[in-house]
Amino acid sequence: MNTYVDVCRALARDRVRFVVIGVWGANYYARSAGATLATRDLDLFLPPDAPNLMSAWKACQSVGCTMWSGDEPLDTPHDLDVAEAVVANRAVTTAVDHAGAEIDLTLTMSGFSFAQVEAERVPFLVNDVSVPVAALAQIVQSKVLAGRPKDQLFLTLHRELLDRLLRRDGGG
Amino acid sequence: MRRKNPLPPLPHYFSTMNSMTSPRAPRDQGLKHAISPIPAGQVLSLDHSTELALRALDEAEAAARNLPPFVLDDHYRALIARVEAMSCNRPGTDKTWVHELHASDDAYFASCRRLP
Repeated sequence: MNTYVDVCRALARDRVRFVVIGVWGANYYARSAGATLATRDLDLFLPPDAPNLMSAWKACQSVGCTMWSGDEPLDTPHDLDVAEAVVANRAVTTAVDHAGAEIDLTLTMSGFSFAQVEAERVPFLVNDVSVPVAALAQIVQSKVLAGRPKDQLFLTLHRELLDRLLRRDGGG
Repeated sequence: MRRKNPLPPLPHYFSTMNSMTSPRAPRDQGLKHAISPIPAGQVLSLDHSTELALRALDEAEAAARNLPPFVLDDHYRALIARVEAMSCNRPGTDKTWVHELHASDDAYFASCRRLP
């Protein structure tokens, strides 16, 4: 269907531990298209575990993505030494497909450990793939703690969207 | 035609353009997705509407920086709890439409062409 689904399917196939976070994660909780917020970044939260990260890279590559670290291609071969260095630095690596779709593999989430987020995850189905998504409350709390301008904008819009949605449903 | 309110030089945009000659535009410099690689040495220029659009983006970013810290109040917490409890958000619910929506958004914007 598209790279994002292909990556999720490959990660599940290879038993990679991950949870969807960020705006994309929040969008899973929307009831309709009108209640989503635009984003092109799929953010995946992974535990700080080098073998798991290495498996994630291989899964992404198996569906045609190339791996990047910052603005440079990730060192090759994508072996355990490289994975351990990335984990030690808690660096973000990014899978990029031929059309420029980006999937960030992050090892940190403001305010939460991976274990906390994994424990509260909600599995949603995308086609035939079970995609683990962080609890909405944790996604929002993390954005409050991160406090970047784009987080501020997200929070302002998201609060308004939920408010409107639930008011329309009555009892809001 | 001479503009009523000519814009001052925009060096930031041109440095951004320069960075776009790499296959993958650096992050956090804006416009990271939309631009195709530009052949080395090609002269770039921006038309007025593009300048205005880029300026609006910068102004929105600046405005966001000046927002007061966001407070997660009880009302917002209650809204989140209600959304999480909705039947459409039970574990195992099919959310394929979210990916289809993102894909159709991407296709729509990729197909946009400027009218002559």
